[in-house]
Amino acid sequence: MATNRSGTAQRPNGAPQTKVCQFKLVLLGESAVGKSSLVLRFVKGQFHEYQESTIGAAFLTQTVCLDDTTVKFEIWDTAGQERYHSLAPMYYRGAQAAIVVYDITNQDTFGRAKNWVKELQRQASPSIVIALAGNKSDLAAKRMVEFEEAQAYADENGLLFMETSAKTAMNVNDIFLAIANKLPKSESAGGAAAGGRRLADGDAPRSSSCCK
Amino acid sequence: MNEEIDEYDIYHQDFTTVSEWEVFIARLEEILNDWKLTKTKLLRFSEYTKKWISKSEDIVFQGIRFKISYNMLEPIDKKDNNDTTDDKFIFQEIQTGLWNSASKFMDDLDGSPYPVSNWFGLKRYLMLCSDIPLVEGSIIKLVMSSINIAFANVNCGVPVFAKIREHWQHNYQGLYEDHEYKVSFDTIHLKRISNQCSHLSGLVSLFKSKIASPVALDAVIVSAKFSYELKDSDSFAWRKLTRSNEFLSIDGFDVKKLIQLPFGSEKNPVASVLLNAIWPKFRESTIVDSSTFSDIDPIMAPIWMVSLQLRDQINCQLSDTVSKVMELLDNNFLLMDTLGLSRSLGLVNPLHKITEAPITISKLVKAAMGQSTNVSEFKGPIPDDLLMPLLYYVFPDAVDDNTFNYPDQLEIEYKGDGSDNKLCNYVKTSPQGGLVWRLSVTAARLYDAGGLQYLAHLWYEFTQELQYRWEHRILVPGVAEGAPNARTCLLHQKLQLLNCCIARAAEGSSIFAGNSSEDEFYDCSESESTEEQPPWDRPVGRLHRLEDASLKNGAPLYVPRTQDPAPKTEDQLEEDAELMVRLGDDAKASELRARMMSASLLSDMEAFKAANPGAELCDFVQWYSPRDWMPEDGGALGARMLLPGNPWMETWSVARPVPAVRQRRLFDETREAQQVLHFLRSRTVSAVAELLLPAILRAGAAKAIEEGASGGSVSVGGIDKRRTFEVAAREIYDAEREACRSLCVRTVFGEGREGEPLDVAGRARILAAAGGALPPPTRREFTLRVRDELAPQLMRAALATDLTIIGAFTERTSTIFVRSEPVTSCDPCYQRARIVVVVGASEIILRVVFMADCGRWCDRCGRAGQALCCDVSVSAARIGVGECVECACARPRSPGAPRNRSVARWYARSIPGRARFSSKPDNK
Repeated sequence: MATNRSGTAQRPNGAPQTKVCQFKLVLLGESAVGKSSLVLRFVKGQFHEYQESTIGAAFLTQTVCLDDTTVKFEIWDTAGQERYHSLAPMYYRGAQAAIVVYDITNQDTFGRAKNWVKELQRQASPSIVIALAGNKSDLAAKRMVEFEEAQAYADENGLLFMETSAKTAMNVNDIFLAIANKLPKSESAGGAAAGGRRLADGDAPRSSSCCK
Repeated sequence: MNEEIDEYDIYHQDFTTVSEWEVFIARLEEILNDWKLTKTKLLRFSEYTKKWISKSEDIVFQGIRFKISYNMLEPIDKKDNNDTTDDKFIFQEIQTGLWNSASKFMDDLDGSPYPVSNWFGLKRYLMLCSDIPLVEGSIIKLVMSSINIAFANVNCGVPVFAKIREHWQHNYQGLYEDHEYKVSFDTIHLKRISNQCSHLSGLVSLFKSKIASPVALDAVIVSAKFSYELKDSDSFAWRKLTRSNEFLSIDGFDVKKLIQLPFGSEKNPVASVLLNAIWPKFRESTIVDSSTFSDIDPIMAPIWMVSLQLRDQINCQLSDTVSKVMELLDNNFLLMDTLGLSRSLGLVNPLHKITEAPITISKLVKAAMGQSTNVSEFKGPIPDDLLMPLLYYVFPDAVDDNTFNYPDQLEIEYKGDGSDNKLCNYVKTSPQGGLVWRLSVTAARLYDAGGLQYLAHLWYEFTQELQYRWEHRILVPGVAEGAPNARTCLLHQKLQLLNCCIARAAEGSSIFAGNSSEDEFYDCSESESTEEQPPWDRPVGRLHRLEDASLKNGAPLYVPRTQDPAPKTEDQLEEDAELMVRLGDDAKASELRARMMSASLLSDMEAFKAANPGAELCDFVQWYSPRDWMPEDGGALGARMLLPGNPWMETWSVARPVPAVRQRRLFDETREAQQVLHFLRSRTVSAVAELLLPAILRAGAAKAIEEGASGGSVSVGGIDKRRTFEVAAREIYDAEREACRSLCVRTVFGEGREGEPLDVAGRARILAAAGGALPPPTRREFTLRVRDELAPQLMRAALATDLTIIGAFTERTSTIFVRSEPVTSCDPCYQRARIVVVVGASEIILRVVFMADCGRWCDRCGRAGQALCCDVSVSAARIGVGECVECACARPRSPGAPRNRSVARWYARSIPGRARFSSKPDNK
């Protein structure tokens, strides 16, 4: 896992296509905030009023095209129940991007989201791109988390932030695209992001010179 | 004025046919203009960093590729710097630089791409450099003329140089001029030192003759540097280090020696010591150095500087040890093959897997437990009296001796613990001084000493010991407690997992003494078990009450004891994740994945049912997924839990009330332990090296830091393991080399610092090491300076086996009229015009002078009715402009006169054959 295969895909007629990058993305957040719905909307364009509760984690893939790059997301949609918390590191370890989701109609889910962000900042790869999604923005009438509050928090912590609605599809594609844009796409940079820091010196060390 | 000039004719028509030379000059001018190097446009800076910045452009001329580059010291930019320079400021800066250039020596490096900045103390310069050497006189002249013209036309504010002759000769010719002064920069390179130039007095007279001052000069100020190469560097004290494999001599065998990683160079790393005797400044008369007599004595030189040249290949013992293990990464044979044990251990090289029967656990167990005859009779290459102390060092709890006990608290040092800049801290760690650490260092040392056989033997004994410990339920010492910690290296994780298995097995066997580890059930002492025998529906496996929550039927809700998730090492987690990825993302795969995932859900549901008899799914959800539980609806399930066929309902429907203690275990310690043991035994050589390297590298880094190496700045991670190892090994090598160097520096410099003049003791030490007298100098350098009435005049000479003399001479750009004759031409423009020969300080100019009534206007002041002149320089093929005599005399050669349309027009009409212009006219 945690691989980033950059390569040149071949079109049927043999002409080389743009570069393909593969990134691992993980969704985290309290249960029933709409993580699976966001993914379903993004991957299949569908929405179910009632989406069954994920057990463990679900896995889906989706490809988006940027100007010169095709970004393939390997999406790990984790279960939000506390009992599954201990499994989360397995999913965010080596992930290049994370979407932390909360429900704008519930203040507690926002607090939980902050904890996830904290954990990611401490435990995940330092170069991970984190996005904060305030989901269920279609239920703005029942809003409990102010947009400004979340925006301020996101700014403070260097997170991408959008309020989304899996139901109306608002900002769903946008947040994934924003992440795709922020991810390093060059072969070396993507590789480094796969699990941690970047290599400061670009030269391959000549191990042979150590053995003389 | 009275004729109509067809501008199209002049500016547009003929560009494709202008001569290549004109195009070349035009291109040069265009570049200089683009770079805004006109005297009036240059920004004025007063402070600079030490970094050189450059920009360059390519030009092709006569099939030669030229690169013109602009090199300047990076200025410390004051934000609102809009001051531009003027002639005076630039010339002042050049003068100061020339005078102060003597504080550096010609062989110093200032970081700029060409030595001229260091030679002449320049802060900025232009350099025209060709790809093939310019050897022929005619092409050199042509190039010099071109830069002369371009310099003048642009009114350039930066000295411009051309690199001529063979490139290795570092021959640069350059100029700078404004309307008052001209500075010529020259280089002479001779392969042999001529007699006259071989001593100071000869150089001084050469210098004076070059200045040719009409008035008496001040005394010439001399700076000198004599360099001596002290080859016999062994005389400089060198700490002998113990040979790394000393511990192998059996009678002197000492574990303590073995576990010390070797460090530093075995031999003296100093290749040579370069001594520079420096006289910063003396008057020419104070020291005599002629062909017949010299009183230059290096012992008397005010300053001695020493620099060390290290051997290119220092043999660094630590890096040697590390790189030997690194080489193993290419060896894909089974390590046990080395001892011929693979078959008897039931191991198969993964490369041969396809042809051989698959390994089964039972086969393995048989092989390992049964100790098939081959194995038990096995006698490894390491003699027992060497092997046993090593094993006791790695497993110190096996003997009563407390010498090598592991510390009680094994600390795992994390990346982020404030020790951010430590060497190799990106390599996964294991507790410092713990078992993995000891084993890895021992392995590296043994491998270094005895080759692969020794390594294999040690590894074999190590795995046998682990097998023994598993069978006898003895924990592996020197390993951090708890489940595998993904921040530690894989070998450490494996041992942590093995310890988990041993602990679990020991727990089980202590309760059911005599039960085999195959037992599917275990029990633990619960408070309830002390009470009377539970009936079937009696609640079991309760952990605690969930606050004051209650079941739908009104009974209090209890949180059950649940099974802990199975401890896993990172490679297992990766495998799991990969498996799930491989399933794909279609509906069927999702369902399969959900079923795989629901094993622990089922376990939790069964435990819940056992702890809460009569509970419903909504009660379970109240504890497990509170957001799907609707208290306001009387504790109903949330809508999504009611979806028909959803896995929560399905799992609930098949869950039986079974407390965690009686469930089928999610973690099977026997299987896991056997897998760990098999994993370790069946590694290839490269895989074993991969397991050992993290600790070897970290131990090496720790050793280097202990020896005074400073932290590395490399940060790395996420890339493949091998590359991480390579980066780390490289870092250790650099650190070790640097440590060797600083050790040498300490022995040579004592208290002093490199790059500073030696103190008296240091001088005495060097002189003694050189045997009391210095050898003949390998290189001598003199800088001669004098200020005449104009500016500083400078000449520098470096005398080694060859001779380089450079000079910067400033002269006034004054003109002397020599003779004047009428122009013979039928062109009416030339009637009454005169041609005047003007001899400048450095060139001869033919000046066509038009009389006042010629009907032209002065280009400079714009007045008509003035006598006008137009210059053609003979020596530099430079073309002046049309301006009135008054203007022309005010600026005798006005090199930077702006070229505008009127000039072009003037020229176009006044001098036949000069009608074409090579560059677009300035739009000023």
